[in-house]
Amino acid sequence: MQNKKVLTFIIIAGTLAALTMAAVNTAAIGAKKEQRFHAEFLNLFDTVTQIVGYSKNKEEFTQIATDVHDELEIYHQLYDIYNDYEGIANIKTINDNAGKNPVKVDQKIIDMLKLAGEAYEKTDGKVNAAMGSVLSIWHDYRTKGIENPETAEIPPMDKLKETALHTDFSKVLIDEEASTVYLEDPDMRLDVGAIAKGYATEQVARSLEARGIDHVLLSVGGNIRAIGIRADGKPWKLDIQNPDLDSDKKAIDTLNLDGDSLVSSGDYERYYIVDGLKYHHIINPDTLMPAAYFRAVSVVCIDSGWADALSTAIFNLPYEKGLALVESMEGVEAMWVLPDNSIKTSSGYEAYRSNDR
Amino acid sequence: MKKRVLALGCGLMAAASILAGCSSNLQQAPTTAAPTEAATTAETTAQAETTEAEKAEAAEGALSTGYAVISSIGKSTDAGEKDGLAEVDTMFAAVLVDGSGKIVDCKIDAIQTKVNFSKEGKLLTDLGTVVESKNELGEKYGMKKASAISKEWNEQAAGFAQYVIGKTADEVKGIAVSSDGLADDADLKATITVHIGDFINVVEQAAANAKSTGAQAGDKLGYGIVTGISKSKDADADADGVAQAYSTYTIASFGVDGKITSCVLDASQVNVNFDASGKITSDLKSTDFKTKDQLGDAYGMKKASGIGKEWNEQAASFAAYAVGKTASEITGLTIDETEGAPTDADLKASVTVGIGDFQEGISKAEANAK
Repeated sequence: MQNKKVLTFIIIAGTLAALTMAAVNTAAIGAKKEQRFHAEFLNLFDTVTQIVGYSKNKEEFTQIATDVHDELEIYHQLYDIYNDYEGIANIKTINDNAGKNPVKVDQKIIDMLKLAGEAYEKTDGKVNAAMGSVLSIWHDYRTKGIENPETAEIPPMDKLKETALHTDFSKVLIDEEASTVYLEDPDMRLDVGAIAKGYATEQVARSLEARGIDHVLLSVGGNIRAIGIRADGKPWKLDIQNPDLDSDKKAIDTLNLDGDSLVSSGDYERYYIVDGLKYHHIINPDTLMPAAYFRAVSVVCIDSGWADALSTAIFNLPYEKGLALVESMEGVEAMWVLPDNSIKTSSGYEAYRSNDR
Repeated sequence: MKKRVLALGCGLMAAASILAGCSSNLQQAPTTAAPTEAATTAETTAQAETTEAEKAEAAEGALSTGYAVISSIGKSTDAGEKDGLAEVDTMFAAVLVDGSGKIVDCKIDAIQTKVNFSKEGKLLTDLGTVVESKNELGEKYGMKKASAISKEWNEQAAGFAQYVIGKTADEVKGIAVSSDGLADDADLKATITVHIGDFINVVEQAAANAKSTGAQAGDKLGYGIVTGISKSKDADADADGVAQAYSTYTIASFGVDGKITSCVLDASQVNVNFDASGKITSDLKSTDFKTKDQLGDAYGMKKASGIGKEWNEQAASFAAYAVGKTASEITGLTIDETEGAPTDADLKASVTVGIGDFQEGISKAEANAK
């Protein structure tokens, strides 16, 4: 697979249309003969993957969906931190060898970790794939707290602080020549939850593009990536979930996507309750506590891996700093839902808003 | 994958301190269906039964889907000369019931989870152990050799399930049991030699608790039980150890086209505690083990404390997702042709949601929905 260097994403100052591979002007040609299909599967990344696209018949679309599944499965196994797979060195293997041995891994792990490293630099450590030790403490307390709500606790701060001493991303040694990854700090663990699904989504989307497949919409656990536009010549329309799940208003906004990626981060899906307070799963590297600036954020940009990383980053940053980060990057826009449910947006966000609402 | 469920230590408290809210709606059931165990019949407590009026409301041809789970830990033993044993015995039944309250389909199974521990309170059984149910074990369970009628446990359970077809919950409750806990009916005796107290209780409860959730006349009933012990822990000086049988139950009805017409998910965590000297500290007589759904309802605290909320929501959304699909669509790929109005959103952008490990249960349910 050909991986466009992520660096180019930052440097290239082009219009969105110039960067997308979708041939917009030919989008509607022949589309009338094509039916629209929707595919779904649940067995990867512990979440729902959805594919919307057009094909002449169900068989043809099933083939595309199966190819997407099979390619995603490779990433799912490589980026897994919980399970071993026969004959595969994955992120768990790297963690198991922390402070012991460099692990020879697939290029797909190296490339993803390189993006993780760039995201770490770019966001001043607000997205940190080397924070696995801290996140696993929260994970354990959350799991216990969900199972035994009466005895639910939050992790002791001294334990978190001690563990946080082992999250320096510069100790993740990537040797591209030898194709190895080595965690120099024996107490360090990788957790690629903030980046891996988006990165995998982007790579699978590029595979489809390389095969000349157009008019497809992918969603891997909420990491959405459009390939071109719909076959009827209109952009894809995406509803953004209202973080207030009890509200009758299910969507707080609708965006048009043409070859773009969209990712949301929020406090409303994975959380537990201690003494009546909600503790969600996105942990701020500075406070070591769940970030409390927003109910939810959404990021739109070309590259799904960056969209994934940046949504976590701006969820962990005060609005002004997050806005500065977004405005400093070409082709990145964002929306923030504040605790009082008011909404703020970046300067170019409006251009994505759908008028059909 | 992390299945989530609430374990509550009601059964572990001294009987005197059990809260009113913790009283079981299960009968004080006899403990196990094992061949050597003398069953004890027990008094009946009030059941939350479906009323006749509710049953009458069920649409013509609609069936109700019900299930029940009864667990006990009475066969556990302290460590001494021999290793300690934490044994959880769970009986399970699933039924489809018609508008007149008669059982039209019934599946019975049991899980015997055994975890060994040492005199030092250390676990000796591999925590990765996958526990097979008695039906899954089949002849490996090894009752056939000991049975006077040469029938394995799974055959006997299937025989009892066949026997209750056409009976109501009350009629099941009235099945004759001899003074020593065996079947009294000549037909049934030829099928089943084990103590039938638990069979009667679990089927009667399943039928009494059945609800109309989409199953139709002609549908087949299937179920899947997935059991593990991975949440067990060693004892140390400060805290008791725990051997935990963690089971997830999937109950599904399948239409003639193979599509799921109703689906229920539940789970139970049954703990046996032991101290650092290998002595069991749980009350072995306790029968007050509830499934997650029973706990949630008994406490009425889901909203207040978030009891099992996430697991419940995941389970409920998964069950809703499953209805109308075939098992292979759930475990593999679902593909639909779609027509959307031009103003409809193509997809919703939302935060990643956990799926849970529910697919295995659906696969098992499809396999045994015959």
